[in-house]
Amino acid sequence: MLENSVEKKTRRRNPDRPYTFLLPYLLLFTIFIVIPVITAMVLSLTNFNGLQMPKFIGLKNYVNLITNDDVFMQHVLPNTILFSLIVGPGGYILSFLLAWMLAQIPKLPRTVLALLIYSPSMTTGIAMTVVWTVIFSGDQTGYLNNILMQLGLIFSPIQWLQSPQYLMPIMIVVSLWSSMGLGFLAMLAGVLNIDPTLYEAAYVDGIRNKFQEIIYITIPSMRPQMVFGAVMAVVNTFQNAAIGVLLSGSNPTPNYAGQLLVNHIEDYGIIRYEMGYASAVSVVTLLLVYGISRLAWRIFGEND
Amino acid sequence: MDKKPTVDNVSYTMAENRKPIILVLLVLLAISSIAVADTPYSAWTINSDGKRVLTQIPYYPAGMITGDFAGPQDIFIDALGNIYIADAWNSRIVIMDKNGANVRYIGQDVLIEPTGVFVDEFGRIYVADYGSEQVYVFEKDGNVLKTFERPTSPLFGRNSKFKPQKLVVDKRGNVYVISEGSVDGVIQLNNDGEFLGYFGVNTTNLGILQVLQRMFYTESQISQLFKITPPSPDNIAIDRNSIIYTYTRNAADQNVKKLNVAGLDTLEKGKRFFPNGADITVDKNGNIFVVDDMGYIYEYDNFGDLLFVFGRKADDTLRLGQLRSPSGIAVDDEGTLYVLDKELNSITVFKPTVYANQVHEGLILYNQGLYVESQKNWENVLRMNSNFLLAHKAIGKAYYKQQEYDKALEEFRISKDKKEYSNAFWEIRQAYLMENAGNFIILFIVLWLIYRILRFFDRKYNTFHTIKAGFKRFFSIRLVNDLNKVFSFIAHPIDSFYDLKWENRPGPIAATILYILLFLVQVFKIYYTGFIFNNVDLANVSLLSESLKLYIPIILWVVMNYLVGNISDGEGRLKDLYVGTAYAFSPYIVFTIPLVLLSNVLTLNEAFIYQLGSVGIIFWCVVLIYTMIMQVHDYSFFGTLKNILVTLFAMLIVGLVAFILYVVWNQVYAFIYDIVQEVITRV
Repeated sequence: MLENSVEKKTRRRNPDRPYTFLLPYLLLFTIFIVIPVITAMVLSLTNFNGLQMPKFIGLKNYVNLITNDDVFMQHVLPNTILFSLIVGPGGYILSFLLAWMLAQIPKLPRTVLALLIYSPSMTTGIAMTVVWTVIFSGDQTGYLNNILMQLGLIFSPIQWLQSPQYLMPIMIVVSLWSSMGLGFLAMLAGVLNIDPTLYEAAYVDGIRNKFQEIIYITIPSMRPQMVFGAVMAVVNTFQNAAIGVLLSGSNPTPNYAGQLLVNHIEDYGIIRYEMGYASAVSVVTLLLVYGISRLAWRIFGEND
Repeated sequence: MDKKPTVDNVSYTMAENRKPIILVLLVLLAISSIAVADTPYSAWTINSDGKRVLTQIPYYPAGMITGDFAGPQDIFIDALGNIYIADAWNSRIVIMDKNGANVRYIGQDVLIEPTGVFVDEFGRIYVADYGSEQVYVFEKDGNVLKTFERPTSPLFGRNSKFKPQKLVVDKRGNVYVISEGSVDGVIQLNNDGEFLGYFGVNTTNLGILQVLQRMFYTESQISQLFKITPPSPDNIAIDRNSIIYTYTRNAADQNVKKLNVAGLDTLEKGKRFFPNGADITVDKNGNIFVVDDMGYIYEYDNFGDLLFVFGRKADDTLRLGQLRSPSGIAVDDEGTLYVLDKELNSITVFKPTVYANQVHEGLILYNQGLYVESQKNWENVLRMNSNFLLAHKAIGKAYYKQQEYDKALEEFRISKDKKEYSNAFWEIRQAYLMENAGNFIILFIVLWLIYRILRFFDRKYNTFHTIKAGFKRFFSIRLVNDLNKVFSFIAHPIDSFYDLKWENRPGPIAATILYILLFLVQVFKIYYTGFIFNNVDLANVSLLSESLKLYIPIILWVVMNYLVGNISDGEGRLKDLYVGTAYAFSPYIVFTIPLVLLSNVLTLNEAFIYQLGSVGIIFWCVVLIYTMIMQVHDYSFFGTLKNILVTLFAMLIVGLVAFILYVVWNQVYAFIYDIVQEVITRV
């Protein structure tokens, strides 16, 4: 009784104690996330070149984006949709399958392989220069050109990374290769965490093969990790966007073939110094990512 | 296109175009072709579907120049209009003016069997002498200036033969020689006869087998293989800008090549040419002419697209304009064609008609990008031949340039140019969006608000209770409920097929309705897919054949799968398979109509959305069929695969048997018919 009242007293005396503990995180989150996002939203309503005072112009940037920006409508938007439609779900499915397969093997090789599969997503920039630009090099010493020429399938080297028709497929391949990131690790943990007795019970109930195992046990039991993986896949897809510029070595990419939303933002913000317009594009990107993440929640979080 | 063109089977494809205006023009065309009906040949062009379409006569035979030739092999016309002929069997070059008068001969003493002749801008005459294996250069007056023998350079190749057949000379004085059997390409010599290199080599096409061989054989094994050599070029021409054109017989899709300085083909890949050409020439505007063994003359524009074909092989009654064995073709600056015939030993002169002239004038402007200026010419062309696709395309481009996108769209639709159509449509759509985007957003917000308000009232006062109850009653009708199950089949295939097997829901009536819906969806797809994505020629669609194409495989599939399942431990009943197959098409039935509607507002920029959608639908249908077999027959994963493969094989066999029966039945029918005829006539 007495203890209880003391406790109440202390609580009353320090009603905002939880916030004290949260303060470091809140502070950092506000400074590095909330303020920049709000700034971008405000800047997107202005004409700002990075030097002079921003001039308020209302929604004009957004109107221009939809009605006047042919590059955006003809190249950037279709490219982004194509890229994210394939790389998002594709990387997601790959992550799940690999995680599931890794879960079937003993611990040591699993750890080594998981590290190997995870590493491309951390080292994209280096791997790009060491591996992919060498493979897709545009002269006859490039691996792909050399092999194709030796087989007699092509007669002169193809400029893989500079040709509009090849850049996008290459970007997709490379992105899929490096899409086993955090989502993959989460899923691996999810698969490993499933109680093996569930499987045994399912076999007693009449499940007969691995396929049914996945459908009836594995996926339902790791729903939280699946949602996390999906959201990470969406975010990754939009972040990965620099890949076209990395591969082709130029922004804008040849004929805008690999131009994605983030490249468009960089093009306007960092190259042309039209910060206001770039902010408008980033706000649109933010809304897109948010919308798709909501959709992912809807799909994978439905029955919970 | 590989078929030998004979005039008799030229189909009047334009009649299939169901537009009254075109019919009227067709009549006009028929009348106007009477005016030139004295030409002993007809002319046609290839439309976008690769079919032959009759067209106006582009060239009429204007005369024949006969001379004292024997087996002439090549003809050349210089800037002044003088004609040079390689008179092979008489071992000389014949020179005459454009009317065939003022005949001179040169090289009578030196030449053995001249097969190619060329005159440069200084009047020097280059002759490829196949007989003496040398190239001769004559002065204007006929004195030998130089002779080029087989190059001694090691680069020429130790065993390469020098058998000059044809030659051209570029502005720098380099000589390009076609040598018989030269698989390395055209021999390029400088003006002193020194070997510069091989030029414009053809490529070999490797089959899958050769690629596999190269992949897995060791080097010594590869060296033992029979060497594949590329075909050697057969004829050559040069235009004003020293661009070289070669013709190679029977070289798949590289018959005509337009070579740049580096010897690379600059024509777009995938252009198709007729394979039996005898000679090639280029006029001053870059149009390419080829004459072939059958006496047909082909004219291509400078992108390698066919403009017209005309001509006919001579029959017993030789008429002016018919050819027997053409060996050379040349064109002068006025566009007059001179075709040399080595069997008739004569030159036939063809002059362009008004129609061809309009086309040519239009082309000159069009190639310079002056679409608007060329519009008048093309309209004249269309007045004479409304089916000339290039004219529609050019007029469309003119409208496009003048920002009259609606008109441009219509022209591109006629010329079936999907890329240009897509561009014009993009502009129209963009303008529409700019005008209406605001309204759409407002409409969307208003609808959303209405929805929220209605939902609020419904939750609070249960306003729509009766309507909801009505819906509930409606969906509890057994048939409606069954039909509504397509959605659960799409979302939860395994459970749904399990229910199908063990609870007999949905039933066969719903399945039958689905089969009918499937056909309706198919018809909708054929008729309403947007122009850019529609590859079906509506004129050739017949509903009966479409329904047969759809239902016969399905019936075969259901029956055969039932039989195959019966003999391999399948548990499925015929009814399960019938209903299951119908529901396996659920994604197709549900999603095709939205996709088709979408295809009407997409351009090529967003084509992948449509393609992804189509592929996705088919993929999900396949998954459903697989799941269906697995559940209904209670098979394992690989058992299902086996069952499906065996079923497909059985379907193939049934198809074969049906075909054999059909053939046999035809025989029987013909036999009985003959007997009846016999009896009728004899008795």
